[in-house]
Amino acid sequence: MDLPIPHRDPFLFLSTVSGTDEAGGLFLYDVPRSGDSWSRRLLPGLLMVEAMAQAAAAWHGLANAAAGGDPETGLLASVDGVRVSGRPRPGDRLTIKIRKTKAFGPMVMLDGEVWVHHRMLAQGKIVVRRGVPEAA
Amino acid sequence: MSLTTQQVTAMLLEALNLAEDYEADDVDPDGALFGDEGLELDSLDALQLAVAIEENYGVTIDEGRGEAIFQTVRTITDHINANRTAG
Repeated sequence: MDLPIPHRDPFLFLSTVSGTDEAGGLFLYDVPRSGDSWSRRLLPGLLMVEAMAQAAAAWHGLANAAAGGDPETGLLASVDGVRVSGRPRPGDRLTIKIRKTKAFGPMVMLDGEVWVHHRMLAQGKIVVRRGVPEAA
Repeated sequence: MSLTTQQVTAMLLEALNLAEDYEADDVDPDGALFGDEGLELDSLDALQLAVAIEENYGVTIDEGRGEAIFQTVRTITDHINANRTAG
């Protein structure tokens, strides 16, 4: 999977792009069963927030490219209103839903949700800024 | 009934989590909101302010006119009063 974000394993929390359009996107993340540090514990809630942020940035890049624009990556600007109601287990498949709610100037606000087996585990508001990361 | 600049200032401070740092009376309704002056708001604040105005008053801020509308509390107040339905 070629995502327009710089994150790579083990810090990439998206496995598959299920679908995107101009209104939002659906991403999947398969929580590893074994072979790394996450395999023996529940996925921390904070990493679900990271997954929503990565999905928001990836959606921004994919949607922009689909519209014929530059393949710019959305930069995380803020996270707000996060609620975590459960934690995934090793082997779970997370569904990460991103839906654009507002764009204003260089900023795009999205609602994010993380689901497992028809149960929502986390939600929050993600804001990404249009643009590309500056070179280090 | 028209909103006053003080009411809009109170909404702005609340929406941007600035209510602990400023009183509505501290803010000059004709002072610049963005940049190095006044409240020194930035583009993230602009987005949050646009969302708050929509939620509180049902008035959409057209992205193309945002810079003009968000100049001062008074220009924001005028825009809300000119565009909101009674209630």
